[in-house]
Amino acid sequence: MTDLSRRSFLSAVTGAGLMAAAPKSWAAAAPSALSKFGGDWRLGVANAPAGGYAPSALTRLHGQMPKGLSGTLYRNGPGWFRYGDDVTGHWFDGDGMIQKYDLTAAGVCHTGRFVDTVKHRVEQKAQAIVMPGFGTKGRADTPVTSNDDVNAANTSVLRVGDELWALWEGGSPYRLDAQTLLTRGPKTFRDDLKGMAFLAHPKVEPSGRIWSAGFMGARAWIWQLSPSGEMEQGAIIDLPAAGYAHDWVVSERYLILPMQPWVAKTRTPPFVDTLVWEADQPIRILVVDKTDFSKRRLYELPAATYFHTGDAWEDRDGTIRFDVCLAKSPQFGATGARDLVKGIYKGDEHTEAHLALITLRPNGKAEMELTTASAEFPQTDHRVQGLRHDLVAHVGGYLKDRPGAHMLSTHNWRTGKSDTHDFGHDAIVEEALFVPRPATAGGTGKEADGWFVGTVLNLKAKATELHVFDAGNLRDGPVASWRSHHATPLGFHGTFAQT
Amino acid sequence: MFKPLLIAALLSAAALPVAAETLTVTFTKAQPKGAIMVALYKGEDTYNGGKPVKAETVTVTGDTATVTFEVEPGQYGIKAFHDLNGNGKMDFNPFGMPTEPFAFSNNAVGRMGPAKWPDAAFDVSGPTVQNIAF
Repeated sequence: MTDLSRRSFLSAVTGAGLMAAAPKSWAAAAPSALSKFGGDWRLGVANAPAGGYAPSALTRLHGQMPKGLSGTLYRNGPGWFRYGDDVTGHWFDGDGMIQKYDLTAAGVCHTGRFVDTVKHRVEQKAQAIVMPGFGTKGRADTPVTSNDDVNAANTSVLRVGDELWALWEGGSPYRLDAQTLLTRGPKTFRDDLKGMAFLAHPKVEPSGRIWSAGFMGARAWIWQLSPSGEMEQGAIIDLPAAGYAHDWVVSERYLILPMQPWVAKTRTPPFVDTLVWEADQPIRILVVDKTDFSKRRLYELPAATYFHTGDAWEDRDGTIRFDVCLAKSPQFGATGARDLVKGIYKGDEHTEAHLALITLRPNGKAEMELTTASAEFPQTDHRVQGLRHDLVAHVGGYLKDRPGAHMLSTHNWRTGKSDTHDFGHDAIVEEALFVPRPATAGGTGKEADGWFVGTVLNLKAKATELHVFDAGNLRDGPVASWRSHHATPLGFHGTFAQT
Repeated sequence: MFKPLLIAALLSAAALPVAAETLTVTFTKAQPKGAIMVALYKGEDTYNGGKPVKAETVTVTGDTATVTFEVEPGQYGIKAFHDLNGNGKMDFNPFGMPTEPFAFSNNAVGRMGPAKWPDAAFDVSGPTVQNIAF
């Protein structure tokens, strides 16, 4: 029984890679929230209806559904932030809510539902923020028996068979029925692996094999799953530092773990307060052979911080390259995203991430090519996960008086050219996903032969919109757009299931 | 010469049962397999890291299981876990999180750790029953 120690619990909960200040009312925060543009950005961090969104058809603004584009866009993000003036400590700690957009020739239908997590259930019953999280201290008298008790299931989704997994990063995937979005419970891959951390950014090879990781201090657990989501193998690997990692990259032959010098030093929640930014330390990039985890190489580059990568590929000579959105400081994660849920935004260019290409040479040398494009939520053609790609899409363009991007862009690494559509200052642009044009609709299988499908929160219209772009031509604007009856809270990541 | 004998006599006197009381512990909501390992602690110090005064293993064949202890009056706390796979130990995942159900007296629940003594402590001053749900 002595193993039931506080230390092991704390390690598991606080070290798993997740992010309190006295909550302030919207009224108190109003001066920074009401800016020169037409709408109020706080719509993006307002509570969604507790009962979710009933199915409703979006209103078509212009264009027609392109021939061959059919399927479901699932998006996950925090949807519940406050009970009165009791506000969650961090944007990343809002309760996970899935938005489901069904695209057919007839148009777009939307529905949304909260993931029925332990955290959501306990807090809805208490009508208070009580659970600890990434940046939330929680209440000392609230029982917590495992990291899945505090699992917000709010970051991304993975479609596996007839299930949709709602992903966090410090606990198990939450299993949902992909059609009804009803929660089935946490996924246990094996009895001895119950509750293990599972990243919100698993990588799916062209073969369908799924790779994921979980982090605990200076150790990582590597998940190798079959295309149907069953355990193939897993193992612990030692990391060069206990650096925070929200994402990683996987190439054809390698697992690539960039460990930024934002390092966990203590174990006391909330997790983000355990992290110390060591600007004099390098970002250490560990490269592990997929077939033999003991074969590893380590690269170093000057300090940089990131949340999201695009994808990796290998050149013929063994050089590894991957796209990533790099920032100079982790200030947004440390404090900026805490302010957001309190209705406060302080623009800071040092927190802005820019698109970069990192190159890891076989001789041990590493290079960082930083572009001038402000960038987040990078997305690539998932058919070639881990293989050569030219195109990366991302949101970008930030304003001083409100959070969120107002542009959608692509960057072509081969040509160096970018392509951008600016939605204007009333729009907060969310992640856009590449959807390939199927062969039945004349698809060639080539990169960029397809569409980007993404959502935008229109602050002026107070509504979320869904836009479809020709992937090779963003500058001419969306080929078709629809508007929802709701302004759904800003989400993080999604997946598109083609039908 | 007499000292060891005196100490032995005192020790045996101390070990003599003082009016034993029956403590009945019933576990509910259990999965019908394996065994529940029950550790009974007397006083705060032993609960927080000392040795249990009694320990029992109860085979589980239904959704409930019961064990009784004969104990002297006092203040006690219980820590229990359900050894689902019957390997004789509490299992943890590679990050150190318990993977088998555990519970404490008074159905007390901890916050990222065992239930605290003030929440788990109960008095035995006569026949006593503890119902603990997994």
